Amino acid sequence: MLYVLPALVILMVFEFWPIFFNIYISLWRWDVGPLNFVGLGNYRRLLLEGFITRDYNNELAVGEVLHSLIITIYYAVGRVPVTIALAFVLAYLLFVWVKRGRVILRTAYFLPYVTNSAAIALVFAWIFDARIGVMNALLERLGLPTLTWLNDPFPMTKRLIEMATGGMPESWANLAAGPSVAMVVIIIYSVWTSLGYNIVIYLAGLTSIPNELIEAARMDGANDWVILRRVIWPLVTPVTFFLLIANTIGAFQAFDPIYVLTRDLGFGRGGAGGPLETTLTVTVYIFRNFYERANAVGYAAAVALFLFLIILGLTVIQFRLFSKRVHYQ
Amino acid sequence: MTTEVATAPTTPSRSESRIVGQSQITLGVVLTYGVLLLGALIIVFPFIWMIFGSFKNIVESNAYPPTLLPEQWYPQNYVEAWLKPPNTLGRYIANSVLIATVGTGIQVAICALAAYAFSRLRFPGRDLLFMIVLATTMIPGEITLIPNFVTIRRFPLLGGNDLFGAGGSGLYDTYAAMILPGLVGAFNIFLLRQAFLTIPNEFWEAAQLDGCGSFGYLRRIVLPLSVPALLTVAIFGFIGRWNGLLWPLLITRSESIRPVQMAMIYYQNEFLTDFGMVMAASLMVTLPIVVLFLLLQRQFIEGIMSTGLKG
Repeated sequence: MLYVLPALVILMVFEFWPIFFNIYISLWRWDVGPLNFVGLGNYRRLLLEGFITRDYNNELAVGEVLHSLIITIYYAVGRVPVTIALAFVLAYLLFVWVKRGRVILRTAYFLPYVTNSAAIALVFAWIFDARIGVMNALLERLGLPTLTWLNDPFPMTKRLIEMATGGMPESWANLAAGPSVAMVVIIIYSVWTSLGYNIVIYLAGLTSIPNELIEAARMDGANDWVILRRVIWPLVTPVTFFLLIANTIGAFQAFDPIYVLTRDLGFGRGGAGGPLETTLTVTVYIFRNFYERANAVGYAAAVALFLFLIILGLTVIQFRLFSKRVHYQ
Repeated sequence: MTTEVATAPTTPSRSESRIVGQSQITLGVVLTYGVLLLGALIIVFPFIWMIFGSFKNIVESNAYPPTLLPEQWYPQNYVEAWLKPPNTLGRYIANSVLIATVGTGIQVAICALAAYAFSRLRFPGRDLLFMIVLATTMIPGEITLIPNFVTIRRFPLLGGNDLFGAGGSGLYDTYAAMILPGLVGAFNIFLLRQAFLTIPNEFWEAAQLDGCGSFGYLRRIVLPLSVPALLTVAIFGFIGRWNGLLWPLLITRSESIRPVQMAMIYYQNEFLTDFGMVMAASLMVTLPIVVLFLLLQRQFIEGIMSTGLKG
């Protein structure tokens, strides 16, 4: 019993207690300590002004919370499917086709996952620099138009249309047109860092496929494509399902890459989420309220609980939608 | 070097490679290697760019179009990067080494003790307690962040606080504040317990015959037999602490105790960034992790493969 005590005390204080304490804080206007009790006031603000508000022209506009939620969804939708698809293709090629150098290749793909930090994000900031970045130099060499990347608040879709037609469509709102160019850079960075983890998980799944199944399919005259489509893919659906859920949760909780890459672009000192708040995800929005705004700790706690419920809801929906399509051996 | 790594035991055995018949070393295989090598090159490119960039002087690092290799090698970047942050980069590295080693060391000790109790000892309510411990893996970071900040700040009787946590700043802005939350990680307890359970019962009976107590058994038999699992927990703990940014950013104010990722902010702030110096700093900060990973990558990747553990 004594052996469990240290672990138990720390888990109680820093894992269990916070669930209740977070709810408690969210019922207050709170700075360093509690200021005054507001009951459900923070939640009312979150769900009313947070979703629909009025701008300086007194016209209806998207509220802060809804705005950050849309940004988060763009980030997740841009990051998760691309990561999983790339990881599956690369893991399949590595596992089935590569005999020599598999470990070396795996190590190379995995390296960004362990070095994922502020330090390495700065390398990306240089590569995608608007003025001197190597990405723009490459585009120029290929005869393509350059972009200002992390400084560009316009949606990628509008930029592409502008490149193709010479004019940018004005009729639809920027927020409705998908992630901004800056967010696309953050998505690229996130895919780069998380790809290795996904490949390794897929490799573990592929290793567990019984060889006899593939041999049997080959005996029956199946070619590689049929084996991939009818044998390998169904047998790794549990892995895909796990990765879908893990990556979605990871995307909704992401903070570091956005903070580090946009720190100088947001509003005020140390503000992240720029340019023009087009990378202001819910986590960055919580951080902003918690850390930079006065007396908004209680409100930030309310948003944190809201984010948790969103993630929980998404996970339940994914289970409902996909668990029937998962084949267990 | 290449062959040595390629034949390491992590490589799935030959039988699996037979999925593709021997006769098919054709255009497809060549294409596959092409795709995989190109992909690996893209993945590794930022590291290459960082290494060569760290030797460019400020004129070359701001030149457009950029070149891969520096025309004049400028190793002074490393000296400048070292001296740039307040108290030098060395101070931040020392802080990170302290936080990562002490934090990881205590983590492994606490988790091993708990895992041992849950796997070997019998006490009332053991299984219920274990379920409670496991349940904490489902509590996400966004929920614990703000309450933990307040808890640290209002920690009773410390940092000028009274019994009710008012008056002072608690553990705010201390090393302990950076280490304490996230010290346990229920998943680590689970992982170690699984490893401990594989040790045959006969060992325990034999140890008891030799007059070995439960702690002696843990120290002399269980821990030495569980080195891979302990190493997995330790590597993940160390790398997580080394790369951590958000929590230290929130919970500290003094530059003299902040960890290495926070030093990176000092290289970013200028109008005309000296990217050569920034890359030198990035490289010095990232290198320990790369070396650690390359040395222990078997434990690392197998740890992930067998558990789905996220770093």
